[in-house]
Amino acid sequence: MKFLSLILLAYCSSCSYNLVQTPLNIEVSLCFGTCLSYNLEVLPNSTYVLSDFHKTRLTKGKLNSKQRKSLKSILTRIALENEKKIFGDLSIRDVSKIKISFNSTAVEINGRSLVPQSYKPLLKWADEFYTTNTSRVPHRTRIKNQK
Amino acid sequence: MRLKLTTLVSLLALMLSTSCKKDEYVNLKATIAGESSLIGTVEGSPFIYNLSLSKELSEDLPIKLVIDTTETVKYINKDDYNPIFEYSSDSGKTWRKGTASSVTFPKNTKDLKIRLNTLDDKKLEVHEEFKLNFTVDAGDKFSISGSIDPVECIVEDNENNISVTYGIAIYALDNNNFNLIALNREKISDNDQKSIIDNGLKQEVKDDILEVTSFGDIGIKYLEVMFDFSADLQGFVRNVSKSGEDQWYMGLELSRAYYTVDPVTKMKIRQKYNENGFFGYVLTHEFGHIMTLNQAREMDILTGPDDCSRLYIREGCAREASALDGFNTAFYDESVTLNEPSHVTAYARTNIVEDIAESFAYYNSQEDTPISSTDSSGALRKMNFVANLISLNKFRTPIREAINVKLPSSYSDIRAHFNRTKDGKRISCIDHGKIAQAVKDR
Ligand SMILES: [Zn+2]
Repeated sequence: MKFLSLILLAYCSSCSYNLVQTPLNIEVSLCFGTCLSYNLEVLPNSTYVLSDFHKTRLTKGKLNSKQRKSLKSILTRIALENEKKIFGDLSIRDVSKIKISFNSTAVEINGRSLVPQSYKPLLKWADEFYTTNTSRVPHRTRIKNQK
Repeated sequence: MRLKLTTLVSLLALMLSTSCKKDEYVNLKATIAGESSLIGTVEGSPFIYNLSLSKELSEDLPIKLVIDTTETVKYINKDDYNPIFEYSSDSGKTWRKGTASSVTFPKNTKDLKIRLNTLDDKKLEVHEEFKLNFTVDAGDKFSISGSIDPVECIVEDNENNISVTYGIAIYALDNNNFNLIALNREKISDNDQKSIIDNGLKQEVKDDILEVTSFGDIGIKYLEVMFDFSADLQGFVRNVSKSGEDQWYMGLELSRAYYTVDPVTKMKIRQKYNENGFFGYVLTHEFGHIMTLNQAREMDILTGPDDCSRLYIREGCAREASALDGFNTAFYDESVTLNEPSHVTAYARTNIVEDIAESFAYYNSQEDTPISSTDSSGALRKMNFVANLISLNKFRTPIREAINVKLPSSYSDIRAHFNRTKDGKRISCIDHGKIAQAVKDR
């Protein structure tokens, strides 16, 4: 019985430890201009892959506890389960298109100016994560990866 | 008789004492104060500002007023208010006229209301701001302590407005007129932006936009003007018609037409309108979208994806012999391999729609387009595709005659197909050094 409780306890704590139930994906496309553009995937166990928009991997790793904590707090505040929405006009050309999905949330935003208030902190977090991490990638490595 | 005399004496004494009292009441000393440092009103309604004195004065006190617009970007236009100040010392029951620079604090009063009437026009404007500065004209006569801080005054425009997503204003185009239909008051923060709203778009910009977009006989219905040098987005376009027509809405960033970055200092510097041709490039790219996505000749919104045997995108099914259908067959078929650089720009890699618009803009901006072969880069082959397609190449001469159109400074010319060294190794066709060497080696 004790053993069973321990297993249950371990199982539950691993649940709560998971950042998300399904991978968090944030895709930010190029715009006709100089907008940031990247793909970020964060797995439930906090490992991440950061790629450029053409899916060329720039860097991968595991979120540190500070990053994990801040991301978890932002995701908790979004709390819009089952939200599947498209913001803005799909037929607009040249604006940056943003796709965010995790758990049962999947939103598509056509243009940065239309990012709903509830998703702004997440996008800001991802933008900062991208700029911080890519500046750490040596330039030569990036060129090499871009084939 | 005695009684009458006594009454008369008493009356005289009373009159004398009253007049004595009046003569004694000469007060020229008080403290003045204003009510707040910020007041607002809606266009057509007046500003009313309250002043108070700690004691009634026995003479009229002149107050000088100045409308100060030197520090505010959203200054008030002269035709938006009546310049004559009015004042009331009976809580606003009656108003007396002052001048355009003064009112009077009447004697024997402690409270004064000052009124400035704004005018209700039918023009869509920004909310306007000015500072009202007060000076108490005390001269040698009065001893007035205290002061009235300048008051920030805001006039809200009362015209209907719709939201502007990216820029500062939306214009509806009608018979070559640009009619302002919406503005983004929150985004207007500098004099360039304010000038566009107050004075309209400059003729040079209107001429270029009208001329370039009129080629191809489709035109644009709406223009969203952006003016923010730090903004990332340079332009956008969409067809706002829901019924299969062409009603094009174009967004253009105008700040890059008037400012550029100094190559040495990296600072923002002013340039003559579109001197570097970048704005021409942006406009050509957006025009390229209309010429390749229009319903009139290129796309068919009525044919759904299941019935479309050619390229199908959001704008519909590509018509037979349309530019996009040809581009799709030539470059997006699985069997096609493209030599690098496969696209004219990194942005062209986004999707086929951007690929053809960038190839179109590049073809129109580069001085010449070297003839390509199968050995050439994808980028050069795509430029040649545009160069050889009459529905697109016919715009090159008129566009270049209408507007200065140049490649952005960070882009290189896409040159000839010398993309192999004498040993057969590929050379990128934008690697001019190696190309020059290859030419020499031949
Ligand atoms: Zn485009």
